[in-house]
Amino acid sequence: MNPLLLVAAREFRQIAATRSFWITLLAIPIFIVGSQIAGRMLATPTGVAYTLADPSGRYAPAIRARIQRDNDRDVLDDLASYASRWKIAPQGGQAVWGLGPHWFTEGEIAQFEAAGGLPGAQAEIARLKPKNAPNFSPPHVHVVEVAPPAGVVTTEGPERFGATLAPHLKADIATPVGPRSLALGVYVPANLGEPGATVAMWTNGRPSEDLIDEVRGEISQVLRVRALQASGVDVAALARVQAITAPVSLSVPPAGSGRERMLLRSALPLALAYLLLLSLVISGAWMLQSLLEERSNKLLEAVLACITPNQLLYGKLLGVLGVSAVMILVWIGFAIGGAFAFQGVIADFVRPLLSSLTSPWTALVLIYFFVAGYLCFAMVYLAVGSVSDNMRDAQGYLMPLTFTIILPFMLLANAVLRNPDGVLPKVMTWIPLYTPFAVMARLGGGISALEIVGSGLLLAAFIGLEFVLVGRLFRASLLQAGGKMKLRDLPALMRTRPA
Amino acid sequence: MVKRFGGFTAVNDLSFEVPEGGVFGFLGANGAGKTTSLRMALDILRPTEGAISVLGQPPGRKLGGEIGFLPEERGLYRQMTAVETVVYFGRLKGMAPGPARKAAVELIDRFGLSAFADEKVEKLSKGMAQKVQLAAALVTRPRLLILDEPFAGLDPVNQAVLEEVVLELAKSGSTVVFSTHVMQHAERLCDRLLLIARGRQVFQGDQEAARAQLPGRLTLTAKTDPKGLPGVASATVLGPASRGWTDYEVALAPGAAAGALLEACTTGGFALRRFETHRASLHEVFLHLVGADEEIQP
Repeated sequence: MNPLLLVAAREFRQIAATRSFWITLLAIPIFIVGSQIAGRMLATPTGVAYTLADPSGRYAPAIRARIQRDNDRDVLDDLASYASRWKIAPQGGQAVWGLGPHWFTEGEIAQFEAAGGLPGAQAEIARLKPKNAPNFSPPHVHVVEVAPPAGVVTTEGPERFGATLAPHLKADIATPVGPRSLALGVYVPANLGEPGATVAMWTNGRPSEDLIDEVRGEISQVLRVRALQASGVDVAALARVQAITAPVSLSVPPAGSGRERMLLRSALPLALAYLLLLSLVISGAWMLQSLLEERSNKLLEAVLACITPNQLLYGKLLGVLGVSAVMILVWIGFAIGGAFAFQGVIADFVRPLLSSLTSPWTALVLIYFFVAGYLCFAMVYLAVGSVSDNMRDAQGYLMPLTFTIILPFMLLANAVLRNPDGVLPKVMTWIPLYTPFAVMARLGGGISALEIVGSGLLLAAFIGLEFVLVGRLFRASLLQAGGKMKLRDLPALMRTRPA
Repeated sequence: MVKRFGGFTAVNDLSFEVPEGGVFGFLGANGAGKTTSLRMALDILRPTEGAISVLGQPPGRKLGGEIGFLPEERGLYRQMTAVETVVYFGRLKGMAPGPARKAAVELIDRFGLSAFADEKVEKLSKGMAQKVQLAAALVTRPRLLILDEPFAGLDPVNQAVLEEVVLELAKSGSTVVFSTHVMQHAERLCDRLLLIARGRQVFQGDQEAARAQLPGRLTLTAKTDPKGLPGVASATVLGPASRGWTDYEVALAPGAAAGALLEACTTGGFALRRFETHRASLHEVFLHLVGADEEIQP
């Protein structure tokens, strides 16, 4: 076997036998899975409850109708996604949930409600759905009305209502859809509209502005109608006027297009860039330890009597590269396993992300820049290892090096999400150390083929130069006489061709 | 060959030849340039000037298993076992996995480490670890074994084991080159010697030739002062006279032989009760050749 491969195999075995490798390998999947499970277990229902005292009975119906419409819009959104995911087409094509995910208009919601709402849709879906499709699970009801809790006085004015309601605002309350925090209490006085009469509201300290706006809007609407009637407007005419809605045609880009498309297409390359960043930061420490091992264990001469410095250097690089590859593959394996385990839920999420892989060319570009990015920074770690005598020395370089990788990447990621064609992403595309991150991050948002090829070639040349210079540096640093290597000597050492 | 590190000349115009077979000693004080010279022979360093031929070829890793090397700085991969270490070095030198393991097991056994063959190096004692290093140097059954200060750090028992190994190897036809600044080892082991000081060669030859570098010395017990005898450079009274006899320390003139002096005494009727020649130690030879300020051990 080639000595380089022997060195690589030994490095691989050595790192793979360490606790830190296994902890790193398993910690990230465990953290991701654990956080998901904990999130699900600890998550509190997002919906809230409200209670309403309407002694006149004139306002409650309008408020209830509005809340119902909003809840039905949520249901329709999920139903449309579900039907699209499992390719369920309603018979006759009449049901609005079969129109695919989009922004549902008031008219469509009314049509949905007229067709039986959720129970009607579920009954039809049960007949049409494929056998392997799970049953439709309706979303949480975001807003639910509850009757005033026992002990709350609704007949003695707003002050008394508020005083008796206050203790109930501190805790969850039972509702038909499970316990919810009682977020809002509304008292609409019977004489509302007369001077001095006001709607009184109490919140639990976390007021839902949307809910308050909706309640206020509906009450205002009732008051306006009453005022118009009082001023002699014909009731029938008023009803006709009220029925008028602006004929709005709302165009929403299909799912996975427009800005959403850009974000989705950027997600996978950005995730890969993060993965590159993570693997670099983790394996950088291994790389340094590996490079310093012979020196700190005093077996450099024994090894160099058998193999060349370059075989030792590149064997180590290959070994650590192999460890990182295994680590990344295991993480990806966990992700795929997770996708299967969650029965398509994650797959639904991942599928649009894969939309960035529109061609083998795109996949090749991603793989090339990922591997090249790893090599590019790995050589920097090797240079640091070459000029250090021990891990303590190396630690001094490690922190600035980590910042050199992470900080520009953070800036870049934000800049790309704002505008992939901005000045910063474009400039960083041509700085070899950041080229891999910049190209991967811009891939989803659009980057010209010229930029990809040009920056890719420049990066390859830069890595080639790194190989030569770091090789020289490593050789010069080995068995050097005359004391510790100084930073100011580096340029001269890198220029010196091996004897 | 010449080797310079910046402005410092570590090896200066050194030229020598090691005959195949036997034990060749590379002697010098600390910092004399021994290790640098050996590193050049192994192609770990390249000479600034000059050329080197090892086993008839330029030095380099292509010689592979033909050369075994035990460096002065000793260390091992702490997480590897004793056998794995020896196998690894064998494989780095081009051995196939099977033969490397077989040779490793044999060597480990020969050095009395069978019970520790599968122990991690970090759990071995220093002496055991040094034996593992030696086994790693020997695993390919090299034609040329280069040992840099091999006795440094070894206890007397392990020094004896190593001496035995060196002599066995030489007997089996291998060439052993070892550097040392401890003259006793050289005296016991070396067929030929190279003495260097400050990177320069000061002597090359066998032990007798080395000793011949020093004027001969004798202790005589005579009735009269031997100063006038042929070949005597000086004579110093050592002790008080006893019944007319006096002890003298006699220094011979350069090139004069003790045998010729004895013959002259006998034929000339010079009365002698004692004629004792002193065999110069390598330590004395070294001090004579390079001066007393060099750091060496007897």
